[in-house]
Amino acid sequence: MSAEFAARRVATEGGALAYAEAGKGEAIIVIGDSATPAPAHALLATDRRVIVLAPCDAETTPQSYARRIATALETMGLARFDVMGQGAGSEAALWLGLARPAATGAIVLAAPTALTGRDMGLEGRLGDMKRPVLALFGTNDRTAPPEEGGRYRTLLPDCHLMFVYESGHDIAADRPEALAFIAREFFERRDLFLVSRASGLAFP
Amino acid sequence: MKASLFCTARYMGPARSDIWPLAGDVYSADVAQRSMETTLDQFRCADEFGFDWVTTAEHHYSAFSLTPNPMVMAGALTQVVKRAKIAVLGPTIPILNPVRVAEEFAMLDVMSGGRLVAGMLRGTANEYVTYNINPSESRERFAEALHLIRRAWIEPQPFGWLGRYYQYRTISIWPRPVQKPHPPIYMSGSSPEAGEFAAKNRIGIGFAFTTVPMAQKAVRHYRAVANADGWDPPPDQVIYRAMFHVAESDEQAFADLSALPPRVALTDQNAAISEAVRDTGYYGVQVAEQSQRNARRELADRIELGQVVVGSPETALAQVRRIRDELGAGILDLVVGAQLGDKTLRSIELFGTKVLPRMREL
Repeated sequence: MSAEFAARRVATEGGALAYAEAGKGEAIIVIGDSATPAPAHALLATDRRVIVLAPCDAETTPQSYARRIATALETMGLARFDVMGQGAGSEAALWLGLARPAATGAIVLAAPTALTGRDMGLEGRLGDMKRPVLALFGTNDRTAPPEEGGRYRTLLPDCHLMFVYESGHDIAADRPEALAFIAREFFERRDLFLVSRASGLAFP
Repeated sequence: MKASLFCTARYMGPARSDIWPLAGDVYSADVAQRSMETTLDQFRCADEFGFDWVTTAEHHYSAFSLTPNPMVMAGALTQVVKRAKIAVLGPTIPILNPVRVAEEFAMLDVMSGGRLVAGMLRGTANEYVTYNINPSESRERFAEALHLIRRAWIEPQPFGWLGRYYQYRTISIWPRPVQKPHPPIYMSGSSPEAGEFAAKNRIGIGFAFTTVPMAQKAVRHYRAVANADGWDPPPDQVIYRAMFHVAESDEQAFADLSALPPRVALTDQNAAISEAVRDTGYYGVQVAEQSQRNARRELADRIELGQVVVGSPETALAQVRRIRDELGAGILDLVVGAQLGDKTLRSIELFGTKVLPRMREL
């Protein structure tokens, strides 16, 4: 089940961008609070190419970091990708979706702090988002509390809100199977994920 | 101290009360209809004579209770009981769809004008057979369902739920509860695990078919955890349930009560189920102690242990006072001796007019 992540670098105008990569298939770009892949990322890498980027540094704005990521992804030849933004990385994830709507499939935000972060200009731009977003909040999260979730759903034109039971801020570590499952579903089916395809058949 | 009247909606015809599940071959539709009407009369009587709450609860496959879905009975009560709060104590939430429970509770709160008391229970051991749920999952299912129900009541935006036992892609209940932020919640406080959960989640607790000394110990634990968590539960956060019958004299009350068949707890009506459920860890760390709650006892012992309130109004008041003093409970949930016809109604009237006014001063 577990995938081996390899450390790599890609050159950009702002300098080399470090990332970890595992798996094959359509790409998922993970922008989080850490460059270290979490258990949920390893689960996704069983059938997707998962690229875990280093977090945005303090000197760079999330918007300009998203531009660097977009350039890096072009350099890597990635014309289509899904995006997962975790914690503070949700700011850059949303900017990436805004900057590259044609290339972005869907966006999953795990415990996002985008609306309480340092980028005050983002909130006013969320209405321009063209991609579907799934915003996940851990029920035990005090950094991105569940009560924040409604704002994302209100501000983003196509946003689904979901609570992850018994998860704190690090959903990828606290509930890896759950996060990988729902992210895979949403990336694959987008808004259609609302309708279950799970079988209820007990015996044939 | 407040009083609630609990009617299980007992089937009033001949039927065994020591076996579960009970076969339907002795069932009479006429008797069942009369039983329902009698139950509604008793609730109506309690409302008329000042009871603060009326209580209904979920039990399955038994003549002991004809309310497998207590929400249906509570729906009827919203139209029959005009003043008292309607306590559903409760749905057995680990075996149910929690979103449906949230919706039905919200309906009841609207239909009753904000008089709902929302009990959420794990039920008796046999309930897990009813809908084929593994009892070893009971406590975890309970906790998750309770959190989900509460979230469904308060979250203004549609939301999905990625639980351990429950998964929903979108939830947005209509109607929503009248009471804000949500109706008062109660759960069983019998086990240390339950008391701790209730205290940490600021939920009221209830005790059913136990003894005052056992409940006393559990209340102390609940209050200690609550205090450590920064709050002090008021008396109304504790419900204690006891059987009751009041008549003009002690002699009459005892004679009336002796006509009722002995009660066999649902948990003890099927030995295989009882054993299998016990083996799953359903009862938590105090298995032996919990099994003592349903031990068969003589009436005098049951009175002494606070399981039964019986006698004249004066005697009943003294017994209630003892329960209040020893337990600090704010709500006494009184199980009606339902099969005594007019004597049952008279018992409710006597309690409401002669005991309850003085009980309020306790």
